[in-house]
Amino acid sequence: MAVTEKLTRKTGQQLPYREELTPVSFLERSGQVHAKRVAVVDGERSWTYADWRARARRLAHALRAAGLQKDDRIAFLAVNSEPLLLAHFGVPQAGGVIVAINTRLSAEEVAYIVEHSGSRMVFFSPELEPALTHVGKEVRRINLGTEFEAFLETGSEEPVESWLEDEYETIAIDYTSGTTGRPKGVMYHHRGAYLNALAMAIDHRLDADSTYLWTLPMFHCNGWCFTWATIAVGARNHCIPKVDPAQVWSLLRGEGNWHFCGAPTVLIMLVNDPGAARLERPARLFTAGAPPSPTIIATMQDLNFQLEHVYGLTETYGPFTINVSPPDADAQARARQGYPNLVAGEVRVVDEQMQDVPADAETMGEVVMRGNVVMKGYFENPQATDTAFAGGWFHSGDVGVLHADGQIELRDRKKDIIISGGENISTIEVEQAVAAHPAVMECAVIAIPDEKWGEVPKAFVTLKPGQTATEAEIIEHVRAKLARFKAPKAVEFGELPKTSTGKIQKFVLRDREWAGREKRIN
Amino acid sequence: MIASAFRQELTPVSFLERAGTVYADRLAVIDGERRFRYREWRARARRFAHALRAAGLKKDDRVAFFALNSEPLLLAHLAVPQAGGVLVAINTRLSEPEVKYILEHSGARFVFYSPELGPRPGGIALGEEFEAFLQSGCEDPVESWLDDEYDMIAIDYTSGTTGRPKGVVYHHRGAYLNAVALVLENRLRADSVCLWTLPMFHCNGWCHTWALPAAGACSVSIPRVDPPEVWRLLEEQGVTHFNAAPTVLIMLANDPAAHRLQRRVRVCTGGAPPSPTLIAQMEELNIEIQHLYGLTESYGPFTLNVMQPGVAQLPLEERARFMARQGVAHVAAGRQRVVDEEMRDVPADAQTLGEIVLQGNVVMKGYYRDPDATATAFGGGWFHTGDVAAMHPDGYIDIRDRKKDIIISGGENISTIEVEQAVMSHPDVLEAAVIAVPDQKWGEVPKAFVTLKPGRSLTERDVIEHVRTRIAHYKAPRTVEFGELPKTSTGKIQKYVLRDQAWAGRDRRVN
Repeated sequence: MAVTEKLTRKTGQQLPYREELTPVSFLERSGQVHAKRVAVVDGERSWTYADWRARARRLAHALRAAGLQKDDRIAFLAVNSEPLLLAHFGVPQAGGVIVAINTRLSAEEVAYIVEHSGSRMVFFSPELEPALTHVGKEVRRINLGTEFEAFLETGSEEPVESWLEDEYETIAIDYTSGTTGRPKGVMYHHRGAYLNALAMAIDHRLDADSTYLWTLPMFHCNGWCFTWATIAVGARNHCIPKVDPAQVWSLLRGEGNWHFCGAPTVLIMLVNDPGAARLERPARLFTAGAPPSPTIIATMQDLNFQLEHVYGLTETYGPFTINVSPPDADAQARARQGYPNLVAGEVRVVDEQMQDVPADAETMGEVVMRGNVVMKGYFENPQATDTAFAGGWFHSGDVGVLHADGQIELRDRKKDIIISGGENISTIEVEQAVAAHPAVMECAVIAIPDEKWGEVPKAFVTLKPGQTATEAEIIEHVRAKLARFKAPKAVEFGELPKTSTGKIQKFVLRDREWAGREKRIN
Repeated sequence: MIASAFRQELTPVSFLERAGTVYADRLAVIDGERRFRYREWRARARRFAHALRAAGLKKDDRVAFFALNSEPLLLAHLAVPQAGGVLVAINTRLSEPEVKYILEHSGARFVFYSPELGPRPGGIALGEEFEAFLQSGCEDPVESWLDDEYDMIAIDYTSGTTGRPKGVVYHHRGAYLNAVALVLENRLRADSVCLWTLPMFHCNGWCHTWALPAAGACSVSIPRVDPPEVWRLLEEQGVTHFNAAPTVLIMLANDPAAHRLQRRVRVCTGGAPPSPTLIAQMEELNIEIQHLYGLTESYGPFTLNVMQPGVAQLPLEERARFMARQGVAHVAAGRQRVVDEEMRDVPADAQTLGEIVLQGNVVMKGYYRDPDATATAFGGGWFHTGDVAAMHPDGYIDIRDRKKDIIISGGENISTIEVEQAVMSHPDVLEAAVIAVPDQKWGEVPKAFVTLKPGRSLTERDVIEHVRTRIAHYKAPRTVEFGELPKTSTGKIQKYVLRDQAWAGRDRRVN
């Protein structure tokens, strides 16, 4: 911020053109502009925007009455529900910082996050109470049921005096599900949340006539900022506690212009549900977390879904890039991670010396970003922050290539490249080829050591219920699509190990395959 | 500026830099026979920026454009700030003395002009001369000189009440945010096509000069509104959006070439509320009206008449009454209030009148080199619009009158004081008062009440001709009435008496 502006504000002189960017303003505005429209539906309950703004203010006042000081952390361990959505406004409006915890974590991990974030209070879905067993007694607990409603009653519906002095203040801390070590607390500021929310509303084409279905957990990057984006435009939020494919299909067939987000895993669940059938009215959705396979892209299109592929990390407020393809683009083009969204900033693919790799769609490098929707840093972890921000860019740890048209395409996590006989193989490329087999539901490919080639790909495959395929069939299938050396040398069938968020844990597979060795490359 | 991975100054310059990659093969601008795709148009903007620097431009130097809507003027909105300069897009309808004043006051270091508007020694003519100028720059990326998103990006001169135009300063942040908000609220996308019926010098085309590249949409530039040509382009170019004052829409709707469009087109209109007749006409032509409100001081659009559930089903008259309201602040604008003299909110009873005041990111930074006028406009920490409105219970503002002596005629501001001064400069005129009177076509037009010096005689024609030699033609009175002026006991002219007469039988004093 300009020094002059800051000084002027400190001297108390008001500048009419200076207003801090904060998504809290979205609900304050929509509570009036869209007063009569429905803001949230959760089971049997629903609220108009006028009522819901009043409810958010109640929460803010109640938090202050309960002793909240500026920048205090307030934890939520909750399934997708109206109170968790409400907290995205009520908590920052009170001057607090929301910590929305992943509901699939263990009691130890939950306790660590509550303690590390220094949360004063934890609100929880009653069914998740067992996950609080290790949380300290000094932390006040409020269940999201009768206790929450009673808590709201301690607040009033009067406007809430803002304590926000600077749009770079922290609005949320999102703990990343760690692949190694302890979870890290990713800090978002009001400005970034505001800007990415507007970008999401634009890219998802949300407006006051949209209905947003909460298939994506709100604890994932604050629902990829859709917690704020939907309210900015006056859309209707439809909360569901978990993804039940049959229920999702039935909702999408009902009244409304439906929008939603989900990882490819969710899409796979949907298209393989017995209720899957082409929608009369199109539904729009974003997917991210892994590149959607050409197969899933084609299937979703046939079912009348408008699928957009976006990419980002917890550290980038969720979606940072979006795939921009002409309507007739093939599935391969649409699997690219794309370009930064309108407000995001810049993305590069760089080598170890931070030099841009050539835009040849081949040379791999690390994806780095900077801009307004890059996190402020890791909470109380300056070392990790410095490492992540080396050279003034955020290091994603994702390995990708740059296409001639400027789109990035991920090829791997940094560790997931297979080098076989001197040739680089992207595990994702192989996975997509395997996934294109009609009997395959999902798969993971890793490098395994090989006497002759150094490393070779091995595929771990889960078949669709009732389907069969042999190792030879899978290998032949891949060979028909890719260079022969890229085909898996071995295929193993069964369940895949996953994190609580549903991410496939390749490291578990790797640990097994590389057991007893010092290095993970060969 | 804090150098960090998460800090980036907001500037609309980033929109074209992005569009040049993301929408590289899409059409950016169509101007007559010329077409530019985003890839080459970004290269052209960079050329322009480099050429300006090569020609000696320093940070914050003002670069003036006295130009009709055209590709170069649109380009200047990206290239001039990219170079580190400040764009001064001058109203082409102004008279020579007015233009001269703006060039001097802004301290413009460069002047680019449309040759159709007459020669301008020392300037660079758009056309061959401009193309040659561009050749002096290169297509390499341009190193940014932007230190702070609150740096100036443009100065837009507007007629004030004092007679002299005032320079409204926009900053990069406000331009960026208003553009993003317009992409969202006006549903601009990469497949949108916007026809430039609105002058780009009007609040930088209501920030659409920046919003369209943000969306990757296509601009169809036309030098002036020629209704048959507009109708032809609406169909041929597959136009999806345009912006225009109601006067222009009336002109279009009543043109013989008017016909129902094959595809639905969205038009934003402002400057005066659309009438029921106009709304009905537009609907028949398959054109959807979005009424918005703002001022030069608010980067153009600040409020929108947001449609409410059920309104579309109302009978025309009722619907039009709703749509005539100026509405509510858009998503990134800030806040609007209607206040009394003590800055207290008037009751939201749709009746009590007060002044509209604004606060937020799309309020100007101030008047250029005019701290007094800025301080007055910003009294109490809010920008005072001078527009008088009632507040509806649902929070929608509804303009009823104007505090300032401003006439809004066909979307252009006219200062009554400026017109009065021009009238009174006639040697035979003793004194004069100018007010707005309602007009079917233009919304409002100036009318002069004149007292002649004893023994002199003048016709209406004489007065109008005289004024036209001094100020822009559209500012000249349409009618002149001779006689005594109503005055207070202290000798002050009572304009309200004249206004009461002219607006008798109407429920508002603006049109």
